[in-house]
Amino acid sequence: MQLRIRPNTSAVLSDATLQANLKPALEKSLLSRDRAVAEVSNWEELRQHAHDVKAHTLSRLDHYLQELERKVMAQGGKVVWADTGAEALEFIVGLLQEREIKKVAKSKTMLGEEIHLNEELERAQFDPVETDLGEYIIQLSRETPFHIVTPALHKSKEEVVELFGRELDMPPTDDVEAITATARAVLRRHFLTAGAGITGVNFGVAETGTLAVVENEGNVRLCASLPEVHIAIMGIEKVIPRARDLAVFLKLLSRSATGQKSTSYVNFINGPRREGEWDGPREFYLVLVDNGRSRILADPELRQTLACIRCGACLNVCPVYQRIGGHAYGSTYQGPIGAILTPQLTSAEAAPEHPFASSLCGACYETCPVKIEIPHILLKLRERVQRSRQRLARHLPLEAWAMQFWAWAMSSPNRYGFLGNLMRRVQPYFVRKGRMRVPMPPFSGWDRYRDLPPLPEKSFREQFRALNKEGK
Amino acid sequence: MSRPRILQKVRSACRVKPPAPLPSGYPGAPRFQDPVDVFRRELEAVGGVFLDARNRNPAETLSQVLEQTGHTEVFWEEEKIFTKHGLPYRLRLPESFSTPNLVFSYHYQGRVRLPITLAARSIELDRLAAIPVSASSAAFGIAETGTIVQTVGPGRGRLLNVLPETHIVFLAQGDLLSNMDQLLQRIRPGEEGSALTLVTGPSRTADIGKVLVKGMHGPRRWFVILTEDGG
Repeated sequence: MQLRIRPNTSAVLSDATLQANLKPALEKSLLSRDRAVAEVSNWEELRQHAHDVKAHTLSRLDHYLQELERKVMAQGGKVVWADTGAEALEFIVGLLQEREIKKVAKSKTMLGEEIHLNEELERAQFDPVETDLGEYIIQLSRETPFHIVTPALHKSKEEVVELFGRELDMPPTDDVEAITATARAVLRRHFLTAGAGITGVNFGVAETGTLAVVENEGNVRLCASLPEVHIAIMGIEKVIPRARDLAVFLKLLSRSATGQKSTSYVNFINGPRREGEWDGPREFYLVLVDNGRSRILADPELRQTLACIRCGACLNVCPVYQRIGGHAYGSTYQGPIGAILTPQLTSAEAAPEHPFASSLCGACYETCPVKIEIPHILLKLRERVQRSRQRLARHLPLEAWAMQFWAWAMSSPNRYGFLGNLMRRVQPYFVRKGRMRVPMPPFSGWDRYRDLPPLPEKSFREQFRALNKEGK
Repeated sequence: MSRPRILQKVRSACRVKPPAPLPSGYPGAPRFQDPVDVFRRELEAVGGVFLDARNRNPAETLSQVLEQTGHTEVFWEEEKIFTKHGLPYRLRLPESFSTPNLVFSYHYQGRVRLPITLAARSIELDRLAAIPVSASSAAFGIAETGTIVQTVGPGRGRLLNVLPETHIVFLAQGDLLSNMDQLLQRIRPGEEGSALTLVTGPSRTADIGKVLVKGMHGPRRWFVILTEDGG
């Protein structure tokens, strides 16, 4: 199946409510992010440190994964390795069946979305309940997350009231506190009766076997302490070497994601409950999932994609995401990181438009707390798509000729000057209302969405020469 | 068994490039002359309530919080609250105190254990979830972010700190650090117990219309009482 973006965009662009709400919401996140970042005097040093730690860890990933495994097992946890999403699901389903567990309390995990955990659990007759409010809204409305950090960003209060009225018999209200209280009560009941909790992992510390999970609501705390079984699923790239690195990564993550100095809760989980402890899960499983990551690791230039800590800052700052939102990407991961991660997790052929869903403005790189060179990776991936198109011989020769002609024209000042003059002569026939229009294919297709300003009367070089003469 | 296959793939993928060095040092983090001041400011900024009981009887401060929130009972499970924060074992409340029925319930864990059988377990969980106010003793505080550190161990669980709508934390002044890096130099996660939580403010969400609401799943009201060292 091919993931497309272009066919999804016109509906989003003509959705007036979404267009009116989306950008201000993202700008609000950006503003708090900027404020929180400006306060940190050594932000650049932190970014570089995180970047270097990730680069090191990825270059010795086999070593650190085994160390993490050893430490988790020494604490009484069990570690399961899954090559694909299907393997991870097979293990989880098997375990739940064996323990005769029906209800599963879930916290927000992008990896869970990636492997379609909810759908598969439901298909296997289990009852997974999302406990993050945003994810719960998404689950009830049977949608996919709109944003990595705030999955229900596109839902207005009114839509949530309508949804909760239909699904939870909530009386109509416009008080957000009342809506939240309803969700708290409903989800509390689920928590108290769930047999297992499933969470994601933000950082797995090899040195201590600690799994760090950040959140604001308290649902991760409950998922990891109420049910008898806790299953944490983690992409293999999420391991970091030392506990002290957490101070750096957590600072970068919380400030970049929501502009908070720290999220309300940061959970450090070290295996199941121990002798003498009276609560907490009796069984703890860490599921390490590859699902295409080792393939990304094998490309020396694209490997840095795996350094991503899923803060979502690149989405907020991206002019393309600000207009088309998350659903248009059609993939688990959206925005700039989705544009580079999706084709790599699948293939260039499966997501041919993703690397092109960017203006290459570079804001994502500037914002990225671990300095992933997203624009550079986008170009690499575009190259890949282009090559695969050529391989498939579906490539238009016209485009290749046009490019060759352009290269020929641009590589000599005389040719460039001559063609510029020629253009100035013929352009009066094509200028309408201050814009150039060429009403015939293939140009008409190009200028339908773009403005081509007319050439000025005198070229830059002519103006420069005139100025120089005046100066003398 | 996918372990060998994944490790094999990862190992050969790692080899496409020489290993990158691990930075030996760590970036600096702010240290404060007066961490209490910063701690208070940050804690209040995230919607917590700071109470300074350094020069007074912490029991009185606790009573005030309960009176203010309209409660008559508070649960905790740590003896440390008495020994470390100087609460007298037999609480003698001021005569003028307006809620005469006030009960301080000590050592929740001593009275209730979570049984393994599902039916009995759910009854205990329901009782636990019905507790409106709980108190605990923080292992550390972090001034830079207004954070307190809660650890788990024998006689120190996790649920009582999360389930109630109101939670009160006692923090001794000597345990207040400037930043998280200091914390991670001081402790090794996992050494003391199976869970450690950094708590910064009440439970919150902004998932509906970007409006900030307190008390999504955890405590809605969150108090930190600062005590003198040793009590």
